[in-house]
Amino acid sequence: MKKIMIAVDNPKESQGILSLFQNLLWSPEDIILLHVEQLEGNALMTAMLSDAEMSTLKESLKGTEHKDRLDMKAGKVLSYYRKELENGGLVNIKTVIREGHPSEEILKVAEEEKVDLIIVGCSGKSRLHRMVTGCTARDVEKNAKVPVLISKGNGCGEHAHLWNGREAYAVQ
Amino acid sequence: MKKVLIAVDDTKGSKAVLSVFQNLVRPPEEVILVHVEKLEGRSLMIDMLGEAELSTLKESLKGTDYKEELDRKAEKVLNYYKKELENGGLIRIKTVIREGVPADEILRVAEEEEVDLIITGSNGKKGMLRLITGCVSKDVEKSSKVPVLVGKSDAHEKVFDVKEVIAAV
Repeated sequence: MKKIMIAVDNPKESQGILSLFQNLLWSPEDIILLHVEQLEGNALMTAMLSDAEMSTLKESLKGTEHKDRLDMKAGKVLSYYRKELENGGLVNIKTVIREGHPSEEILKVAEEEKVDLIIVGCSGKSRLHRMVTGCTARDVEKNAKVPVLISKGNGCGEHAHLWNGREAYAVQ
Repeated sequence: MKKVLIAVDDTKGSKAVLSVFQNLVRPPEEVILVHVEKLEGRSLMIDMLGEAELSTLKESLKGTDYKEELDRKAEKVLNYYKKELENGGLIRIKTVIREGVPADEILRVAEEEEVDLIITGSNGKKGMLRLITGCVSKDVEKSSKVPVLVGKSDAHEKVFDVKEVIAAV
């Protein structure tokens, strides 16, 4: 096992991710901790911005309070995970901050760093919420060339199950 | 590490579970190898069958050539993967054959057996085909309560991203 990338967004998921290394996975030689700053908020927009528009957005956000806040959050999340992982005995951790569309940036970094596995958390969004704002884990899983592990925790999957397509039909 | 469920079928994409399992995962105490017989073939139907209809379908297929063919296939697939895993040094392997909607059955077995991890392959369906026939790994990932590891076989090339094309238009 060589290189693993962990895409982190939310400190709540750390327990799930740590227990993966304790129980399921071989300890990797290198870990890339990635956080993607989502510039445009939770919106349908994310899928509709082209590269040019995205770079305009990046440009215009530079130095604003919004961007400062994003940077602060990124720093906080990454240092939190780094500490947690180091406490768990894992070393050689590199942190990376990117801006843009989460799943695209995750895939980009995965290719640049030639990782052997991508770990993403599950957001625990409800079906409707997910339909509207998209699901990073799914987009990554769909397009990645390397294996993807979707870690679970924070109750996700539990109510998604109720909304299985087949059951929705059965209700009619 | 306790129990890992590995879902397999006869597609090439499924073979990715082996490399993933051997390279990334610590040896578990027990492996549950699951193959789900898809009674209704590849179709949109899969989401539209209720429990009752599905059990009627199961009933009416009993003893037919088609069902025997499915059983034979299931045996073959499971034996292949069992042997591969045994060659890798695993001893406790339990094989399970189910009938029905793959994602549902995989999740059901995962809950019954209280597994700690689900490993699936990825069939590499893209775009329209995936939209129409569904994707087992996606459905499993969506509704599972335990971590899901999706293997990738090297053969998959990234097909163009529909999203970007739409944006460009």
